[in-house]
Amino acid sequence: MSVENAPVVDVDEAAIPVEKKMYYRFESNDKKEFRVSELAIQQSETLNRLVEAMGYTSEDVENKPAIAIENIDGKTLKLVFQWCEHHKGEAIPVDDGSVPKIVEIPEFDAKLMDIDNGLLFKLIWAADYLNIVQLLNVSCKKVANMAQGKTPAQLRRVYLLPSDEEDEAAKRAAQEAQDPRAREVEEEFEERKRQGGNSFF
Amino acid sequence: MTFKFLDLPLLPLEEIMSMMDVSDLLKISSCNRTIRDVAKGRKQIKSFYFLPYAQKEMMDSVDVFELLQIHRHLDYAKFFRVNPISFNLIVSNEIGIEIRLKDDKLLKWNIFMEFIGNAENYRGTKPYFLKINGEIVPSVLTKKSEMYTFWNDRLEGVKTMIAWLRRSFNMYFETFHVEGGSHPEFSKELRSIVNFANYRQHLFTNVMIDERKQLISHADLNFVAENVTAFKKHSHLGRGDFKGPRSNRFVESKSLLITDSRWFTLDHLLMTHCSTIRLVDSALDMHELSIFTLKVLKGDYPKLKHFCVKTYHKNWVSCILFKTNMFYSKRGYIRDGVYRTANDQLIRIPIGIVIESLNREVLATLIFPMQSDHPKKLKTFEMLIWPDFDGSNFDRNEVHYHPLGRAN
Repeated sequence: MSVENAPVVDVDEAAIPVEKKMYYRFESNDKKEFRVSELAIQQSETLNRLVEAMGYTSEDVENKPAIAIENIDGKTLKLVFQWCEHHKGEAIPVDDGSVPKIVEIPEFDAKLMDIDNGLLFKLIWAADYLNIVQLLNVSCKKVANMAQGKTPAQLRRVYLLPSDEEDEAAKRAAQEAQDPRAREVEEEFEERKRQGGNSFF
Repeated sequence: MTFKFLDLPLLPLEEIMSMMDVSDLLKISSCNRTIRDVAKGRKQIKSFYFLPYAQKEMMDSVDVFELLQIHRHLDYAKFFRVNPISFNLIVSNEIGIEIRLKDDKLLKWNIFMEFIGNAENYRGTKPYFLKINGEIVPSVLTKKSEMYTFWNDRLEGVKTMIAWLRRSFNMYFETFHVEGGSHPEFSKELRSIVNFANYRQHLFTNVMIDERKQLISHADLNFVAENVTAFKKHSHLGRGDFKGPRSNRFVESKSLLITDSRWFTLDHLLMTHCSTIRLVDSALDMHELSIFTLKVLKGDYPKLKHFCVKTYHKNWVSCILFKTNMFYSKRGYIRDGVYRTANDQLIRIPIGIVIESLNREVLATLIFPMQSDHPKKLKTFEMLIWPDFDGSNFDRNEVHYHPLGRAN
């Protein structure tokens, strides 16, 4: 039978069973609970794989304890899930390799990231940990924008960058703290060298 | 508001750096070794060229100078290979260094030296502290492309700067640019800078003497002619109100350009061994030009390839042709030809007469320029000398002449 000759059947749309939206429960390290839709979770590769592996049904979600995210606090997780809910269903961007990387910050994201730098730092950590590509892009872009038009001295202040000498000193101090004998050995070696000894041993 | 940049995991750190443009990336790389190591692996840091032209145009002298210093920590040799950037030394009422970048258009930034006592006369938009040899030099950006650095003695300042740039950056000064200065110490400063620069680098690519605003004394001009060597181009931009004698210790550079060359006599010309000579507003007459032309055709100036004189004298071509008839034949003419000089300049040949020796070797081409007979318009005498001319490059109608001017 051709497609044109197929019988037309009226469908009662109300009769079609609508799949119930599933909301997962997550808990931050400070015991705050969040309910996040399945579609929003897809923005995070880490969480998406986790819930897939767990294979929870709607009942499981309600009856079992909330999924704990140990590394992220409630304030940060709230921002992350707000972002995921707003961008749910959007395609995950693929890096096109352009240099410098071009990222535009949408209005919603700009408002969401109107936060202090400490929280922005945590948000980037969270986006990296939960593997949320677009959130990582926009939050990194915000940090990159901080550098615009600044001199190296200003950049050092804004990004808390130690100079090469300070870096070196810190590294030495860390090494010494790890092995207190190392300095003694070094001093002994220098002393022997001054005395004209050819070999240390 | 601070941000703990180095405490970020490596992936976000790299992401952030990939979103910065070259100038920001270079600046941040100069702050810390860890960032420098990450940045070195990134593609965009390899060249200034990744900056869009508009951004380069917006950069001020302070930014450019910062960038140069930052690049020193990175692949500086490559930076110079990739970017068409050059440095000039300027001596005029101001003394300083000019940085030039050849892009869509030529971009220039200047760094001048000034006595610190005059600092309050300079109102700047941006203060800056230049660090040279561990010492801080106060500076100020007065215009977008002008930065003034303040020293106890500006002459010592420019010398310190030259020595520092030569030693730290292995920087070569391409052009020595002299303009007439009304400063009472001008002659002393000029001599001191020339002697100091010559000790650091024995020649320049170009020498530019500009007298359009202010005349330079005869002694100073002679000093420059004798002590500053340009291997590529010597330009002298003059003005009409000076008719006194000038040095005949002349240049050995590849190319010579003199505008308002009324002072440039036959003696000067006979002493000049350049491959390109261009004289504008010259006082050389037909007789003098034909003397030089005959010497060229005889082979006394083996380096010379292109000779061009703009003068008010008339009827020179026929006169010179008549003189050359005695010894050489004119075997035809070139129409709509083009000649490419050694410095890649294209010279149009609307109609050119080919001059050959008696054993039929092509010696030169005299060009008939497109010019009007208006008495106030300059007339051009132009000649190409090409012993390597193969005769097959151009559409040529053979018109034979007898050595004594009779057509075959």
